[in-house]
Amino acid sequence: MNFTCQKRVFQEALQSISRAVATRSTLPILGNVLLDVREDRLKLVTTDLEIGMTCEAPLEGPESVGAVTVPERIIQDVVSNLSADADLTISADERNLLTISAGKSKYTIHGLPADEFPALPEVSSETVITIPAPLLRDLVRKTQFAASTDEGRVILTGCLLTWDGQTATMVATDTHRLAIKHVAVGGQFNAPVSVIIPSRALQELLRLLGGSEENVEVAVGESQVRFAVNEKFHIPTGDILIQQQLISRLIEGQFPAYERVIPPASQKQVIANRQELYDAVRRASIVARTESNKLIMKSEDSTLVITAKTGEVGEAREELTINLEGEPVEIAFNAEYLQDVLSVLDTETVELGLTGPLNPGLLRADGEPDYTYVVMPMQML
Amino acid sequence: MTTTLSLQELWPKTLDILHGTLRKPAIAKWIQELQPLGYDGQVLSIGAPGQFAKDWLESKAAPLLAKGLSTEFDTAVTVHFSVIQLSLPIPDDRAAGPPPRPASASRRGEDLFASLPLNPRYTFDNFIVGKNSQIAHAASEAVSKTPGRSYNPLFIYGGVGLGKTHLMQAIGHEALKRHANLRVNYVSGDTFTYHVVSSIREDRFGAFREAYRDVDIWLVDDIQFIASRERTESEFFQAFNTLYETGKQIVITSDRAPKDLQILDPRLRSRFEWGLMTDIKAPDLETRIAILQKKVQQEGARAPEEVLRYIATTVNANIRVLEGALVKVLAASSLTGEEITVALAMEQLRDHSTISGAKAITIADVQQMVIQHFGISLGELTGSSRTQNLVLPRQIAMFLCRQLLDASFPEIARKFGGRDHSTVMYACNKLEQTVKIDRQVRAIVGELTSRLQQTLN
Repeated sequence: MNFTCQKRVFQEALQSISRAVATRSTLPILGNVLLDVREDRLKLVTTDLEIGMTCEAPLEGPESVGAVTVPERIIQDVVSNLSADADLTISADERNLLTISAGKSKYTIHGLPADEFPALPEVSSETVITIPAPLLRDLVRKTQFAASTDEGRVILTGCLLTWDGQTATMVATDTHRLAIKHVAVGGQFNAPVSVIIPSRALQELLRLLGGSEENVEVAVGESQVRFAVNEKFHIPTGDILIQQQLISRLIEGQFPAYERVIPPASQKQVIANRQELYDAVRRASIVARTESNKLIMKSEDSTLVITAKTGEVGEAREELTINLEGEPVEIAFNAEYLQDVLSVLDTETVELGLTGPLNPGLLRADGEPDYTYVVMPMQML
Repeated sequence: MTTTLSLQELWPKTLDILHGTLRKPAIAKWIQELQPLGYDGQVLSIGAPGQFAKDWLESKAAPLLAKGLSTEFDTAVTVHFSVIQLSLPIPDDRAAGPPPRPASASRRGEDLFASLPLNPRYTFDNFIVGKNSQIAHAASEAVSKTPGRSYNPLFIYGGVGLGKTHLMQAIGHEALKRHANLRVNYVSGDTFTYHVVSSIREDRFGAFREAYRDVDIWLVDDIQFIASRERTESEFFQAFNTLYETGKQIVITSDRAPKDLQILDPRLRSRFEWGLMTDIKAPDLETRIAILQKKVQQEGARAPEEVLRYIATTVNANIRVLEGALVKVLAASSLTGEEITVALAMEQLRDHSTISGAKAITIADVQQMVIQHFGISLGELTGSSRTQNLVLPRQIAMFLCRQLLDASFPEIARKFGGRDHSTVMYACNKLEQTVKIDRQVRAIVGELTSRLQQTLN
C-alpha cells in the first residue's frame, strides 16, 4: 500500500472516526484504525465492537493498494502535528510497518495485520429512512438526554426509534422523565420500524453530524442500524466528498409502553420565557445539586419563585415573570431534569402543564407541537 | 408533650437515632440525603433518595426509629418513608427488579466473585475429537480464536462425563494463550447461584455485578443449576445481556438442550438460542479407543491394543467412567505386577461393566415408557384429568420414578405437570397398596420395571 493524500483530508477523515476506538480494551487491535486503500479511495475503520465507524475519501491513483492497522492515538498525534498544508505519503509493507512522510518528516509506525481487524457487520436492510441532518440532530438532541444510565435496566439505556414511512419518532425515558419527538421524514419504506438504539451510539452520531446540512440515510437492519452521511469537504483544488458511516448494534427487547404515562390536559399552565426559566433553574441548581437537586417552584400571581435550600450550601431564590392559567402552583422538581430539557429547546416560550404536586408535569415548547416532555416532581417538604 | 411536638423538634432527634444505629458508610450517605416531609401528630414522613434506600430503610430503620422517637417524646410516633423523586408508572417487564448498584464496589468483591481456576489438563491438545463431538470441538476452537465474534453465545450440551467442561476450559486456555490480557471468568451454575445468594445476604450486589461484568470471556458450566431460581436467573440474565451487548464471549454448558431447561424466563431461553447450540454425544467405539490410547500415553503406561478395545467395548457410555476403568486396570497391573491382558481387564471390570454401561434413566424416560405401554399421550399423563384410565398410569409412572430413580417427591411433582409433592406421596403409597392386592397391576409394574432395568444395563 502506497498513496499520497492531503494532510487536511487525511486528518479530517481520521478525526471523524476516532470516537469508536476502544481506548481500554483487552483486544489491542481495537485501539487501532484500519487503513484500507483501494483503486480510487481510502477507507478508514474503527470499532470497539459496540459501535463501528468508517470514513471513505476519494484517492487519486494510489501507487499500490493494501491494508494495515495502526494505533489510532499514535497516528492521530503524528498527523495532527505535521505542518498544515503538507502532502502526506503513506505506505505500508508486509511486516505491517506504516510509513508516513511529509516534507522532511518521516515516521514509521508498528501496526498489526489488517485481517485480524474485526469486520464490521453488514447492515442488510431494505428499510432506509432518509433524514436531513438538522432534523436528525433535533430528533436525537431533544430525547437522548432522557435515556437511563442504569445498566440494570438495559432497554432504557437506549432510545426507541419508530418510523411508519412518514413520521419518525424517538423516545427516551429513565422512568423519572420521558422525552418524545416526532419528525416527518420519507425514505425507502418496507415495514414499520421499531428499534432501540444504544444511547451512546446516538451521542457519537451527534458528534459525527456536527453542523452538517446533508441527508443522512438510516438503514435499519435486524440487529444493527447504520447511519450514513456524505460530507463535502473543501480543499483548495475543489470539493471532495467524504462518506461517513456509523454502525451500532441494537438493544434487543421490547420498549415499555410509554404512551400511557403522558398526562391528559393539565389544569394549570405555567407559561414562561424559556431562556429566563433556564437561567434561573441553572443558577438555583448551584445550591440544590449538593443534596437531592430539588427546586421548589411557587407561583405568586404572575411571578414564579424558584427556591433551593440545602444544609450544606445555603439558599437560592429566583423570581421570573410568567403567565399563569388556572390555580396557583406549588411543586418541586429535580433541577437537572428541567435544565436538560430547557437547554435543548430553542423556542422562545415554554408551557409547563401541572395537575398536582405529586402528578407528572407536561412540558411543551410553544410552536413545537411534535415535542413532548413529561417529568415527575419530587416530594415537597 | 403530646400536642405541641413539631417537625423541627422531631427531626434532629430522628437523625441522631439513625446515626446511632446505622453505621455503615453507604447508609450514612443516605441519611445525609433524607428529608423530613411532614409530621401530622402521629406519622413522621421521611423522603429517601431512591427506591432501594426507601425499601431498605423502611424495613431496617423504621421500627427502630418509631420506637426511639416514641420513647424520647413520650408519644406514639410511626415512621413512613417515601422516595423523594417520584417515578413515572412505566411498566417494568423484568422478572425481579434489582436494587441500584452502590456507588463503588470494593476490591475485595472481585476476589470474592473471582473465576474458578481452570484445570490445566483440559486443553484442546488433550481432547479427542470424534464424530460425537466434531462440531462442538470446531465451534469451541473458533470461539477461542476470535472470542465474541464467531458464535456468541456458544451453548454446548450433552450427558455427564462426555467432555463439555473439558471443551469449555480448553476455550479459556486457548484464548489466554492467544491474548494473555483477556479476562476469563469460569464459573459453574451452582457457584453462580451461591454468589447470588450470598450477595443478597450480605447486600453486596455492587461488587457482584462489577465482577461479572468486567469479563471478556464468560464460561458458565452446568447452567441447569440456575434454572428455576428466579433471582439467580434474573441476575444471570442481566449479566448475560451486559456482556452480550458489549461483544463479550459467552460459553455455556448444560446437561440438556435449552428447550428442555426448566427456565422460568422465556427471554433467557431465547438468548441461548441466539448463538450456536451444539451437542456432544456419547463417543463411538473408535473414539473411545482413541481416548484410551491418549490416556495411556498421558499416564506414561503401555497397554496392548486388544485390552483397550475390550475396555472400550465393555464401557460404552461415559468418558469419565471409561477413563476410570482404564486406570483401574492399569493400577491392578502395576500393583500385582501382572501383565496387562484382556483376562486381567475382564477380571477387573467384571462388576464394573454393569454400572459403567449404565445410561442414566430420567423421569422423562419413565414417562415415555409408561405412555407407550398404556397408549396415552404425555399431555394426558401429566395433565390434570383424573379419569380412571389416566390415574393408574400416572400413579405407576410416579411410583417407578420413586422406586427406580430415587427421585425426590417435589422433583417428580414438577415433572408431572407441577403438582404438589404430597400428591406424589399419596400416589406412591396408593400404588404400593394396589400392587399388593391387584395381580394385574403388579404384572404391569413388574414388566415396566424390568424393561427399565434393561435400559439401565
